[in-house]
Amino acid sequence: MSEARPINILLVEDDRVDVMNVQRAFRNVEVEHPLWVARDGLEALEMLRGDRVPLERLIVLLDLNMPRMGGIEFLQEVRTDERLRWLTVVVLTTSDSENDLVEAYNLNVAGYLVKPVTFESFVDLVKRLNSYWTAVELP
Amino acid sequence: MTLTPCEELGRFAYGASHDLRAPLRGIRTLVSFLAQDLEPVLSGETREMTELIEARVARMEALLDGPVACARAGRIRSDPEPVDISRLVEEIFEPHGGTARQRLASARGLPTVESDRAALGSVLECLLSNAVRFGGDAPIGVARERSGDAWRFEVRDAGDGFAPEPAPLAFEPLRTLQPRDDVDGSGPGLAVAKRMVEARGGTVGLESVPGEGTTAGFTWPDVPAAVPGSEEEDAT
Repeated sequence: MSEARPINILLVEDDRVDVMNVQRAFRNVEVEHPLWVARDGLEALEMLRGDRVPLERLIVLLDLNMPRMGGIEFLQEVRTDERLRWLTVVVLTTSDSENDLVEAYNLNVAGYLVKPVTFESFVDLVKRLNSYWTAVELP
Repeated sequence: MTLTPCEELGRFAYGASHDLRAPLRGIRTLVSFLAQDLEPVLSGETREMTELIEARVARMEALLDGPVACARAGRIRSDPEPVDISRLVEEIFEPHGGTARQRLASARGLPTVESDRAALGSVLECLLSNAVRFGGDAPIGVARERSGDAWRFEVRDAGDGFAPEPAPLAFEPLRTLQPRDDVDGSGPGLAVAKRMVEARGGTVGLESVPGEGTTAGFTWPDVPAAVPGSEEEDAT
């Protein structure tokens, strides 16, 4: 439980404004965790399987509605992949559909966050995530 | 599964509204980034512009809620339960804050009725929030009377009122009777209330006398009446 150790974050998100939102929110809370961005599920899988992202202390922030490969499909791939099945994935989406929620938890996500509308509430959310992540042990 | 025309419209409205909301959310976010980054060099005028953009985006979001709320309004039903109208009115006023609450003439003496709480609450909330927004600083009263086998409720404000001609227009979706930059009345509001009341066999009306105030009233039948031609009721 050391607060100094960085957590690696892979953001899977196709909307550039949402990517900026995450980057700015991280800057705002002075989180100095390395951040990688994939623009859809396929690119994220390529990055994970091609070792372009460290798997240690990695948390995947996953959008659901994306072109080519969406979040649920990505999760199905990850959970059946020997090397990736234990990955910590937090869904970050605008979808508050009950279906998506149930499906995501069936695929063992660590959390499901419905994107707040304002920047301020997003910053608040990131602060909470950050204090949670520094408090728990990650594989 | 076959959809009724109304359900189809509801689905279309929901889909369109959801799709239109995404770019709006982007605009809202980007404007807030610009406002933050440019804060040191913003003048009074440019700051006002960013605020106006944000207000316009909020209005657009309210407009997008309209068709969805309208499509749902006739459909939402829950089992009847005793609803204490006095308490309901006070609950509706609670979030409006102190100045609005002071304008509420006593809500005591209103009946407890056996009703679908969510729907009755939505209708009252719509009429009361209109009185709060458009009634100036004037007091607001809630009256009731029996009318056959229905209750009739009236929300009265002693505000500026408006000329009688546009009253029927106020029930059209997305209509507002005042310049939007004075009081933002965008949204489904009365159109939704009208559908909810009519789906239960009631009627709704609005009367206004310039300089004297506005009265919005509706009847709420005791037993939910069978509604001709609203087969969507069974689909939820």
